[in-house]
Amino acid sequence: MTLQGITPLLSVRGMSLVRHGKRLLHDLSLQVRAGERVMLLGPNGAGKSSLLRVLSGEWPTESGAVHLGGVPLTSLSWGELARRRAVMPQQVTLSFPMLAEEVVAQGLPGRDAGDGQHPAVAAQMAWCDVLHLAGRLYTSLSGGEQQRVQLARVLVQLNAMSGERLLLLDEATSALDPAQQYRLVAKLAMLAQDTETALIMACHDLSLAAAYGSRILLLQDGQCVADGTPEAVLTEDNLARVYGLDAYLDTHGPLAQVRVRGAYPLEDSRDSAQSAHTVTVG
Amino acid sequence: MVPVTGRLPARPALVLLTGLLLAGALLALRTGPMPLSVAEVWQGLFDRQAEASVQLVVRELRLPRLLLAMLVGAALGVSGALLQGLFRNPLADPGLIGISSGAALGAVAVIVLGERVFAHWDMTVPGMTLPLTAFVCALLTTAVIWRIGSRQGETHVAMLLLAGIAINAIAMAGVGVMTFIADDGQLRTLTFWTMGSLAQADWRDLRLVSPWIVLVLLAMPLLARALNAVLLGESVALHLGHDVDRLKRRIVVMCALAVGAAVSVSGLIGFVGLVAPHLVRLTLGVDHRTLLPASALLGAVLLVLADTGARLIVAPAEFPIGLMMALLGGPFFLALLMRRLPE
Repeated sequence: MTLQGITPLLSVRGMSLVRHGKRLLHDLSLQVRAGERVMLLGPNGAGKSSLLRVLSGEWPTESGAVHLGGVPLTSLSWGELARRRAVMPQQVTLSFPMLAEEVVAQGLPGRDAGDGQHPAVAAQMAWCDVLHLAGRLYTSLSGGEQQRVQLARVLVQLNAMSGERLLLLDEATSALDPAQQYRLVAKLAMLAQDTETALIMACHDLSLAAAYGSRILLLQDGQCVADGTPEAVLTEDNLARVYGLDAYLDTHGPLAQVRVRGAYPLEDSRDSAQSAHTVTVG
Repeated sequence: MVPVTGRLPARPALVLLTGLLLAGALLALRTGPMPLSVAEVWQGLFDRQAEASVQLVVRELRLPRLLLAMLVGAALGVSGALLQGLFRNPLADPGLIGISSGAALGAVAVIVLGERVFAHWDMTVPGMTLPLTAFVCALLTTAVIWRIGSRQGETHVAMLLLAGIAINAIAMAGVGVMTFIADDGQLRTLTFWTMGSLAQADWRDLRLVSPWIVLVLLAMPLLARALNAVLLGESVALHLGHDVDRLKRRIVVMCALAVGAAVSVSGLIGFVGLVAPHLVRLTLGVDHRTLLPASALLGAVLLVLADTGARLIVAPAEFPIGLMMALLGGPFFLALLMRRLPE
């Protein structure tokens, strides 16, 4: 591909996370360079959101080291972090009536923050196809519209940065219709390549991940099961083992897609993969 | 890009509020048992050759009371706006996290136990025992609630609210005990204090409370941007680079100082902290850069008008301003809510 950083932008070594007595992530190691598009896959509760929270600096880790741009994450202040990485959480709820453009303008750095008339606000709202909603109340928007407004806010923050940067998206397109979803993820993938951005995106859409990810990280029970290109990770074996899905990766069309033949009944997949796991009924 | 909601532009609205405050101030200086013309008020304020009685009424009676009403109103309005933003809850109020009830317990204890317990203190700071105790108690209660709400350097907003409600109940029970053991004379003073009043206002009160409230009013703009980000959630505020825990500490300390100071001289005046930020949000929107100063101005306007009304309606006696606020503000606020409800 094109010019990419020699040293990884993000480096995670032997990281574990324990919260409230529960082990959420176990011995994870990961190196991500600018320009890479990493799709974070795994069943519900696999640790995708937890990993993103650690990478965003929000949750301190139990053990191991996380470096961003060669600097330990823990040594960066919130302000410094905000100039190197942007984060879109799964859910943002508002209890006060804010305008869509006000929400987006929160992404502006420093004294500009909250200035809805700033040109960057309109630019990113247009990018996310929500410019026509600028003067509407955020709470009156549909779920998909709210998600695009939030994405515009995140992109405003990202575009104000200089140098290599990290973009963390947690199911950022889950409420969008398929057309919007494919269009936006395609644009995000191009953005990552063109602007020295490492994109890490958690999602549940296997085909979307296969089509636009340059790399796939498959998580299960807080551990990394597979890490590599879509072809290497989305094998029939991995899909059966992690998701209990009878599916395969179809690379014949213009976009790689995961085709599902059917779901395995629970006992078929689980018992063959983990013989120690038994269920007693009655 | 034109907002479709019925919001007024911020700057003209702030100018309008300042104008309202000045008009209210003039009204407050003119009205009373001895009505004065604008010219007389002017002479009373600035002309050393003016009639002695006019000078006395304006400078020693009405001016300190007016300034105190402004400061107390601004303190309550701004604290309401700060706490509602921090708790992301439009119902938050300085009374909610125990600041007011702590102060009330302190004040009522001085009224009832005054001669026995606080006698030696009254010698060193004559006349200031009640406001000082109320102020210290407000800070202490806030500190206790803060301790309960914080774990390992993190502050849990829901825990803070619950602890506040519990401490409120305990403090009000303490007020109840004091009421129970009070004699008739004390009971009267105590009742008036809990209904709120600015009747005792003088320059000494003003000197006691103004530094704290002015400090908070000057520091308030520094928090506006971080509070705006907190409206999207604490996580998002962190992602945007705001130190949310530091913000929480600052807001609680600022509210304890401002409300503690206000309550210590004026007694319990509810409603301003709730209604002023609400009215501002309905008309100007939620941006704290406008919301905070506008809530301070509107709180001051409301209190100046209510105090002027309190002096007028049952003259020569005085109506408690706390009751006044609740009686007039309550129905008005309800009507406003009902009108907005269909949207």
